[in-house]
Amino acid sequence: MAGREAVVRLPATMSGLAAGGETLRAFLDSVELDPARRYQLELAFDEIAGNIVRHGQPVSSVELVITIDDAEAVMTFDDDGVAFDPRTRSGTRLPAPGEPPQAGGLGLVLVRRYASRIEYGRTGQHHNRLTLAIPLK
Amino acid sequence: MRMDTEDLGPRLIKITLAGRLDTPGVDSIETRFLATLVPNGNSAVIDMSQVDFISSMGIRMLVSAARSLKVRQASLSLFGVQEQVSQILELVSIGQMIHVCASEAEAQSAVRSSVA
Repeated sequence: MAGREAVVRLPATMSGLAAGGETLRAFLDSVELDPARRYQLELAFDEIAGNIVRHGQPVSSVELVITIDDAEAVMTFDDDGVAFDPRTRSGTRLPAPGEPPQAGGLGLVLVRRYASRIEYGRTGQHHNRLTLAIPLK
Repeated sequence: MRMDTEDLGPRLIKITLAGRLDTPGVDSIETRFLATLVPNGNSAVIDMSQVDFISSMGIRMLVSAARSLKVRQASLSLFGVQEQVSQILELVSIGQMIHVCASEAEAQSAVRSSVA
């Protein structure tokens, strides 16, 4: 598959997040994806963009650039919220067999489970830029 | 996200959810979901057959409710869980706190027996 790319821009509000999710899903509808892999991409969007909207205030907007080829999907999130490197967030893990589920803190755990690489930096415009690569094979 | 409720008897409610338990979806129903169950310690069977997505926010809503209900001698069960949603729920071991059942009858039996 030749690389397919989409740009999703959303205001950093709950309604913006809902609309951005719909835009992403419309793009994913146009790409042939294994259902489990597609779910991982939707999950990454909701966890990362959702975190930005809920915890990144003051933040005005989020931009996602998603590129998909045969091997992987690369998702780059750019936002103007407070500086936050999710790679430094630790402490939560998936429960071991027999352990009860946790109520919170699972978002980044789930993203880390599915992403083969996570890169973070601050741009010259003082934006957060987070890039995830999610294998599709 | 849509949420419908049906009274099944003393302290037992059926909740039918439809849509996505993602960040915006949970935001739209969480207050009502918790208010329906927690203050009166109502157990619930939750029809998940029309829920095609769950993220950590949805998991948090369900687990938080289950924890609060446990203190009130009540419990939750889910039924009709779709495949991809089921895989995520299994990953986070939700079955350790919330019954995940194959049918509504099984779900009702599970909550009734857990509070008996």
